[in-house]
Amino acid sequence: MTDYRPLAPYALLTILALAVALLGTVPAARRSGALGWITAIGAGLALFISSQSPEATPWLGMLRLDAFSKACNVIFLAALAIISIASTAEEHRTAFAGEFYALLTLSTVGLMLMGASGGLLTMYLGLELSTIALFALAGFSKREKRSAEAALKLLILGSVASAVVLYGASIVYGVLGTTQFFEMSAAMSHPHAAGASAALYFGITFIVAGLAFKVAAVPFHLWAPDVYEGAPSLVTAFLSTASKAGGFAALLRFLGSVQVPEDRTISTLLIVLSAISMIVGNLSALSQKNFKRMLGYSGVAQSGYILTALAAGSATSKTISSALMYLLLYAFTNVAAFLVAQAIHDATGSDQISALRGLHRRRPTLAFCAVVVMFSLGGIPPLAGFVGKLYLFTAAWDGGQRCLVLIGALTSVAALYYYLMVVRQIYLLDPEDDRKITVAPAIVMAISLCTAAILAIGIYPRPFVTMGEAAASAVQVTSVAHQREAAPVVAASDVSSPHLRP
Amino acid sequence: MNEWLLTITILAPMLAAVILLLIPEKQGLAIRLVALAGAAITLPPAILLCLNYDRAKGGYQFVQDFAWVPTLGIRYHVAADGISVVLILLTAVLITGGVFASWTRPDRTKEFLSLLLLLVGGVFGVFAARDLFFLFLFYEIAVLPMYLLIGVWGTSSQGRTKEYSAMKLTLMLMAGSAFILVAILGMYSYSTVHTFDMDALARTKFDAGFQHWAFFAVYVGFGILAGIFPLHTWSPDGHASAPTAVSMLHAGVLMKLGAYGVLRLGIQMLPQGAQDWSFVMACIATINVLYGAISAMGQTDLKYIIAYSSVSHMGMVMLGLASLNPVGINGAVMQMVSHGVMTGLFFACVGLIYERAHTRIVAKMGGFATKMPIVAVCMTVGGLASFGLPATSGFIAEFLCFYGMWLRYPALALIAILGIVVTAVYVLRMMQKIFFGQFNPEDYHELPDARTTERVAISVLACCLIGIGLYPKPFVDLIDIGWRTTQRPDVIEQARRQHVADATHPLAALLTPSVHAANSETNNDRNRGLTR
Amino acid sequence: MPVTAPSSSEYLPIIVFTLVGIGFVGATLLFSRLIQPHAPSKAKNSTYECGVAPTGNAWQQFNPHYYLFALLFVVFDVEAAFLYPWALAYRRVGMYAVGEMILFVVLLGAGLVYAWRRGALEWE
Repeated sequence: MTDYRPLAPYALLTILALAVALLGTVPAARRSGALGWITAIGAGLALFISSQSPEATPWLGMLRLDAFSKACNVIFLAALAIISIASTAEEHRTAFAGEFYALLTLSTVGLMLMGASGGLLTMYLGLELSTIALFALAGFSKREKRSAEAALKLLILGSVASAVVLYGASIVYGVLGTTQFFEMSAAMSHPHAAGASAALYFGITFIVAGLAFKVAAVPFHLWAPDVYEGAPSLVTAFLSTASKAGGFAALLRFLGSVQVPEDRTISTLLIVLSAISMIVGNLSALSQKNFKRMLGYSGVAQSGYILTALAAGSATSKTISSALMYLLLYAFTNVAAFLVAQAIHDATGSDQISALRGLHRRRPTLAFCAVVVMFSLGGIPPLAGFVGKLYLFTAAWDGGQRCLVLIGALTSVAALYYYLMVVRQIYLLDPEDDRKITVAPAIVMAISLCTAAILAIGIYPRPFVTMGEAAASAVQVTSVAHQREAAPVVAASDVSSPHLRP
Repeated sequence: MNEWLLTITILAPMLAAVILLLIPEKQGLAIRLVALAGAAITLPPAILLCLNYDRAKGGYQFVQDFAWVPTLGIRYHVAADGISVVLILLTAVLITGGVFASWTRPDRTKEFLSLLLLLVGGVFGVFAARDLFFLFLFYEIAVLPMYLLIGVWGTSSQGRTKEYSAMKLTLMLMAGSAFILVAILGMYSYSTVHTFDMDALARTKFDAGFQHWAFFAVYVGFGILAGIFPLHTWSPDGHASAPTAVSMLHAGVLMKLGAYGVLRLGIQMLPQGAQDWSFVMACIATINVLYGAISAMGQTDLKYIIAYSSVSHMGMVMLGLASLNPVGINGAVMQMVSHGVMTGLFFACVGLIYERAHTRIVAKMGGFATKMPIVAVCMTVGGLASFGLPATSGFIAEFLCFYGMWLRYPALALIAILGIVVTAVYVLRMMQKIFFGQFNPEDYHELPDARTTERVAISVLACCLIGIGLYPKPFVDLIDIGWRTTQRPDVIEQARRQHVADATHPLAALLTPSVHAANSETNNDRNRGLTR
Repeated sequence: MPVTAPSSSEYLPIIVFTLVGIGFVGATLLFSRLIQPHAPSKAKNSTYECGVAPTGNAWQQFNPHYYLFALLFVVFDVEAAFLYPWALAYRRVGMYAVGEMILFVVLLGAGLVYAWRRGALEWE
């Protein structure tokens, strides 16, 4: 009998999504802002249960509930909880609040499935669940034209990306005869498999390309600035952090298992993705006037930074742990950045960087938090962004990707320019309008939580590094162990199923 | 107690910075007192560090070392040798002076002082860190607040807006950081141990090829902050735009971080690389000395004159470092101290003059000595020290720098000495114009002398210059012991095996005291320090 | 279960089959084209036994409520489709199958309740 206890967080969130959707039909529940708190508490509870539950691989290994999936859950659920808290603000208690939280929660479940996927099928299922919910969320401000445009763009391009992943998965299945990650390495090391490698690379390339869309890496990034700009900031906060983390979680799972021996094709692919993401992302962000659009391009560059570690080879534990840690701190940082955008939008109705002008006089606390966030994105110590970036670059350097580290370090300087332009608006310039602006307490609370997390991770990163390393060893241990286990099975199937070789 | 001294010195200003943020803006006096406390509280530990440093034992002392992120090889490891303690003392003196200098600053005092103290905490951290991760972290903390300090509180001049200067300064220094980061990652990954700990890295044998390029990265990275020739352009704009206290700290201490980084990470950790690049460094330093002095001569704005003179003086520091021998290195560190005090004094005086005369154009000034005698006296002392008049700290420092270079590349030393002549020209001309020319009462109806707090600050700095000049022994001793006892073990071993008697080798003094006994007759103070 | 990589020869029958298929259809059409008499007229070209000739524009506006009903219908249609195999298999699977199906029906029921509360079932 399978042990179903580790599935509790997933079940809890699914029930939560249904319950919130139903509760959302009660006007009193909507107006009080209780739905957001219920979602946040539910997310916290799921996080707690997830951290306490034992490890398991239910359903023939379709799901892998191990340290890696737990670490991913921390990222997704933290983002969900903080965004839920922020959206309890009065302005966001719309008639569709229930649907908002339900879709957000469902998307989180999808992402958690991606993190816990034990094979291509589960990964694809999670990808679809999370992305389809996000289509609806991106168009949540129904009356705004740009929001509708964002939803349509995400829908069309997202569907194409899904199809690309599915196409790649079908080819990989055709070549390797399995969709389970842990059987892939074994199937690949089989002597007869060598001839099929061209087709295999074809398939892997497609899967990587599809996931690169999810993480908005160049050249699959074109949707990101438009969607980030058009979608409501609260949704963009989720889209740019948790959703991106989901893409990376899937990439790490997949590439951690599919290690083609003595071959650099995949890593060349990642090197190119990483390098052009950093360069194009940072250079495009330089000229942006719209705050959210600028953050969109900066997000593209940040994906490039994470890809430097991936390019160093997914075999090293540092790659996985540094990527996870960066995704976690990036979740806090970027959620806070988009919440600032939301707060400014609520107060001034503008998304331009110039709307932040003189914020230090109009709302000092928010200004301070915004500057901390910008510096953390720019990788300035003692903030989290610095530790994370250093960790990523260490992993990349260890993996021999010195050129990528150099590109990363130099483009970071260019990046600092546009982050400082924001700081300039906030701190250096005096406001045209000296009146204080009002920001909803819920948003201030959410931003403060993020800022505290940024400082904490930056000053004492030890627990997060430990978490990342446990996750890394989980991915590796299972892939290695199963490789040993699976090897004789391959041999046996060779003999017992002669019909495969006419 | 001793092992806590460094941590206290680093954390006290940072703590004060946080406390400041919590005080309401209206409590003007409380803000200033807390800031002063945060700055002055570092003085006793800094003095104690100098006094308690065990000269017989040498090496790194006051060690505090515990694991921070063990799996990444990051340790919180602070320790100080003779060089560090002297520079920490310099920083403590300058920040206290800096807080005094910004006592009457009108707007947003709280944030200003908070950032200033944060910056200083970072500076202390760099001087104390023995872990590359923390060194880099503190380095960035020291450099980054400069953007806001100049951008918010600076002044625009000569068609350069303060925002432009701040952005230029930050981006150039951050580009330097990128080089430093690459060098640090290279060192980190070189050994199989994977550690950021500098003591452990000092035992790693880097191969010659690695040292060659790693040293280049360190030199360029830190050199930008030290103002090496083609990469110095941020410095005049930045210093001219910055408010008084910031210029004081930036030219006085922050530029030294660059030289300190080249010394610690470059020359000490990558000695072979340093040998490779020694000639290039010496040439660039010579250009710095001359170019800075000649540029200063052509300036009309008082702050630009001082800023270019900083470029010139930092050139002397780099000249001393490039010699790679104990004489030159001692000179370089002495010059860091001397120039730190001197330039702090200069910028404080310029700030005072500007505040009263509302101009920084030298041509519009004249005869100020009658109106503000204290400022005149102090600034003149600084001026004399800047071209190395005997009995000021500048003499001993510049003498050692040039002498060190003479031992290695005599021709370059001779060319660089010309810089002193040029310096004397522009300094004396400037002093003469400002203080002793014709006073024009129509332009300036009111020119009060310095207030008490300011008077204390500038006269303490001036006394330091003369004091060090008259009796430099304690400082030279500390620096010398620090330098000689913190060499990489493999370097000492290699030198001992080869019996290098070449006077240009960094360890020549250690192994062949007779060479130096003969050469150091000119300076009795140094004699004892080197032959101990 | 991992299988060995198929070689290209395994695909040969498929290719042959595809080619034969295309060839047969193409040859038949071509042959009939060659031997048929060709005399079109108006009556012959009109729609054959398919009701009245269409008038007006095919692009008509529907009330979107139709979609909601259609969606709800599909949901329960699928449920019914699931129930048949379940009814055949539950004897072997036992109480576990009952639990699963109850969960499934409850989930669908929750959707119906949600649609109802949202007013999707009211025709205005």
